[in-house]
Amino acid sequence: MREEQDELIQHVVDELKVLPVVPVDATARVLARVDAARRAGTPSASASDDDDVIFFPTATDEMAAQAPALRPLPSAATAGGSRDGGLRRRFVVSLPAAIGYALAATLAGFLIRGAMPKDSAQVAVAPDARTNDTSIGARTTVQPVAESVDRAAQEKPVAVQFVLDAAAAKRVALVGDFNGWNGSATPLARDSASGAWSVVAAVPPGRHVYAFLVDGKVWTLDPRAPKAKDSDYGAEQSVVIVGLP
Amino acid sequence: MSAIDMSIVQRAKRGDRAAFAALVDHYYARCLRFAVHMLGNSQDAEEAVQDTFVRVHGALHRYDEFDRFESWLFRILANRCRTMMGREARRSRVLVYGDLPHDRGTPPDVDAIVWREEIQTALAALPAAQREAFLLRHVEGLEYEEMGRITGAGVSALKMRVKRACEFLRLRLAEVERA
Repeated sequence: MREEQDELIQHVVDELKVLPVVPVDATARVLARVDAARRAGTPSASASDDDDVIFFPTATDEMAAQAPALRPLPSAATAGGSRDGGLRRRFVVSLPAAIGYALAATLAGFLIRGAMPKDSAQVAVAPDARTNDTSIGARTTVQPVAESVDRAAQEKPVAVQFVLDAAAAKRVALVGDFNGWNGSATPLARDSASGAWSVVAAVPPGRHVYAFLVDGKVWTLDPRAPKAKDSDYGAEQSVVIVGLP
Repeated sequence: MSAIDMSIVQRAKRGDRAAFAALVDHYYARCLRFAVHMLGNSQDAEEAVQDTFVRVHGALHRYDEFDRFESWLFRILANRCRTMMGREARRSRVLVYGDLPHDRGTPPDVDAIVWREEIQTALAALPAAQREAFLLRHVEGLEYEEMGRITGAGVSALKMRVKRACEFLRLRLAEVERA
């Protein structure tokens, strides 16, 4: 294939090659963030691209641009409106976890398509009555926004309930690729009776990685969800697959 | 821009803070250029580049020195840009290029401003995968094999993306250049 490079393109390239001015404090801000991440004990990064199988979705950019924005749900706190990568997101699946993902995808597919009894989709926010249980554990359930799940509906964000049993925690936030890993976008609410924390977040269909941030510093996985390594963050994260058949 | 001295990367990998700072200094402008052209917004681009270097720091111990450092860095940067593009798609589609600082000593004339805006508008109209391939190939000067390691796409697919990007830009900008 002939490499395209004529005079017009060369002019374009020359223009695009102009380097922007770097803010004087750019390096200092990077170092400050590195130090802050180290102090907080949160993973700054450990990219694992080399040992991951990388899939590119075949969806077009136009489809991604037309993908609906997340809408806050009327109840509880909702995701911050971020759909990282959308349909263009690089789907990264670690081989050792592939079996787990497949099982999770199957389960999510059943739930979203209504294959399970409808009542089972109505999940109470508060978990069981383990009021004094201070151990950290979570369960995630998926609830379809619409009963009729057609192709268009699969593009819409789905209400996903995230629950964390952490009676001793003072605050808990959900962080994931669907809310830009923003620790303040999706706080969980505490059920005073059980001590469990929960939130219903609007999550776009697809595979997502997430974790809980307890008391603003303790990175906590969902013990009932598959673990994943993500190329962007690298640290262990939980996986939820939403809306995929 | 020349490739960085590998001894700096090795020192940074061993935890040398000054070496890591030198590494950031060396690549920041190039990363920012790529991110600005990918995201069309200097604020998001800044965020993407900052995130990239924070992640690079955390992942340096995993960096395989048989891989070219630039390729590895741009793989993480491209990931960040893809991630942020999803966010950007939901926001205003209005392009924010006016605040893109250019390292030029003299004020550009009006024609130059118009030409630059037309280029940036045309670039933003490209499908993201084509824009990414075009920038990596022609602006960053990477080989297709390296681009494949960065994007996960095959060489022939990348060549096709670059070819289509060139065709699109040529069609879109030919009239402007003649004017």
